[in-house]
Amino acid sequence: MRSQIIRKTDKGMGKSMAQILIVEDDKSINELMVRYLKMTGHTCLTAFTGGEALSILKKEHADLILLDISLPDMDGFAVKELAGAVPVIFVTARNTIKDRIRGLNDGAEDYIGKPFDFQELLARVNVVLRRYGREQDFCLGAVRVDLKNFKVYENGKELSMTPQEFELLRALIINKNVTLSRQQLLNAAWGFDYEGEERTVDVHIQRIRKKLHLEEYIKTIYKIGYRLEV
Amino acid sequence: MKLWEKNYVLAMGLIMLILYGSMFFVLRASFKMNFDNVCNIAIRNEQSIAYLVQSFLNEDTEYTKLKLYCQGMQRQGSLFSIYRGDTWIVGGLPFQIPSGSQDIQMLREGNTRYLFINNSFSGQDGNKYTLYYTEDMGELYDNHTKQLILLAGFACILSLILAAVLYFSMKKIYYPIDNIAHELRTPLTSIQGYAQYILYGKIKEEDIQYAGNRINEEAVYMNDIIERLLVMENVRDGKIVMERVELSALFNVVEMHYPDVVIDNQMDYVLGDRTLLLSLLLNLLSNTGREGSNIHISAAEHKIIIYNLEDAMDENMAKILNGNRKIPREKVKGKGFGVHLCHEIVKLHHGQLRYEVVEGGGMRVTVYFP
Repeated sequence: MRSQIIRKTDKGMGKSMAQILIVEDDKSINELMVRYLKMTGHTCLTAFTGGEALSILKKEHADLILLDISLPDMDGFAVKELAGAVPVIFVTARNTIKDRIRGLNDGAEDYIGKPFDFQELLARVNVVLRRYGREQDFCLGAVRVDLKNFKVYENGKELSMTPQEFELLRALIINKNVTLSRQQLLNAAWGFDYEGEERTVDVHIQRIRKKLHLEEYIKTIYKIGYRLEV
Repeated sequence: MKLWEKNYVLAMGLIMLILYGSMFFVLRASFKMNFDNVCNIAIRNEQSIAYLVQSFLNEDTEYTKLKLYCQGMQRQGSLFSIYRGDTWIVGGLPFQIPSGSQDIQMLREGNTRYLFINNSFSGQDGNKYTLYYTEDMGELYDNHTKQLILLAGFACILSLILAAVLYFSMKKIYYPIDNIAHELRTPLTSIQGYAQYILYGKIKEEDIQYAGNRINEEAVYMNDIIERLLVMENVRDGKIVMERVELSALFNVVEMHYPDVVIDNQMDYVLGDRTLLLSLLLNLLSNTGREGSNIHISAAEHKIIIYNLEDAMDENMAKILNGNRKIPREKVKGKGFGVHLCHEIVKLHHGQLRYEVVEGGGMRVTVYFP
């Protein structure tokens, strides 16, 4: 009975986290980025050339642009110039220090070199969205997570969470539908210099599951880690 | 700074050092020779003047002849003056007589340099006479400055030309390496990404299928790039070893890859590199034969013609294919650089490659051998 109610509300809560414009001329990589971002709840606009990107921006709103530098019709730097105030992350095979410095000096939020790790891409996208206050509350059934103010509610009533529990929850939410390894979760919640046991993660995950009644949604992925499935 | 840029700066520095250093030494040596020459002439002049002056002094105590001689010499530009003891007798110098006792020295007055010679002798009257002789060295130094400017200008132009030539040739050598790294990274990104997508994503069966296909495609593409690298290895300094290549043997290999192709071979052999020619044929077939299986190859009279009567192509596309530029990946159905590679191979064989639209549908590719 309980899970049925949750499913119902879940559908209503299917609003997107952010609208992201992907400008990448390689169809295969473009499609891949779309799939990843959609999986984690973002909506995507796609363009294969600089011109297309600019005409999309005239019509649609974008919270963030993932921009390749080598585009067939124009340089990514020029596209950024014309795109105005929308935050930009350069995603490119032009990986020299000179290019990186130029990208960041031009006011890009971040610079990701190819080939890249897609979980890293998601993490960087979320950092930028958080910086711009585009992180939205995450709702799942009776649970509402206010990512901006580090608060969790169930049926409107605030639950007490430790900072580690909250960071674990945040990592699962921004990577929803993506498996995170125990090490990744450990890094997210305790930082890179923490040398604790990976079992610590298991204990905390158990607590989150119980506290928020998310047993059904936080899945254990055999031999890898955990995944929040929505 | 990239490695090749560092090498470039180093090479250019060395060239400049050698160029300007050798210029400096040549200039120094030529100046020294001219200087010695002028000095020798000056000493000879001084000696002949001294001889005359001595004879004038001996015959004429009023110095009339001596004065006339001195004026005459002044008009010719030879300046000297004569003293008896410390008393001036005749002549004039453009500067104060220096106190030093050296016989020969260089003096500077304003912007002009002079060679100064002093020569003492005793007259028949028992007095001690001194001849102070100067030679204007202005011209020598002026010439030296002019030579310096001329040579420096020449060296500047030469080093600029050298710098430009070296820059472009080094860039040309290193550019493909940069480019290949870029081309390898693109499929690698896809492969890594789709593999992670299968590993970590919450995905359906059809998504796995899709991702697997993509990984496979990109791996094939990477293999193409590597094959191209191997082909390039057969090419040294833009030249290839030309040898007799039996066409029938080549077509046998082609038939193994494309069993449906109809081959009509009227030629015995072509001159060229076997690996490159095979790569050319296979690439042309994969470019032309992507759609449709109705492909004919005919070889006759220094020409190999490949027809595909099913795959249509518009004039615009033919223009792009004949253009021998790198073609954007999305413009062609495949990955683009097969076309570029074909042009390169044909160029190495001093031949020509032509893509044509056949009236009434289909396309034709002709390779002309010299």
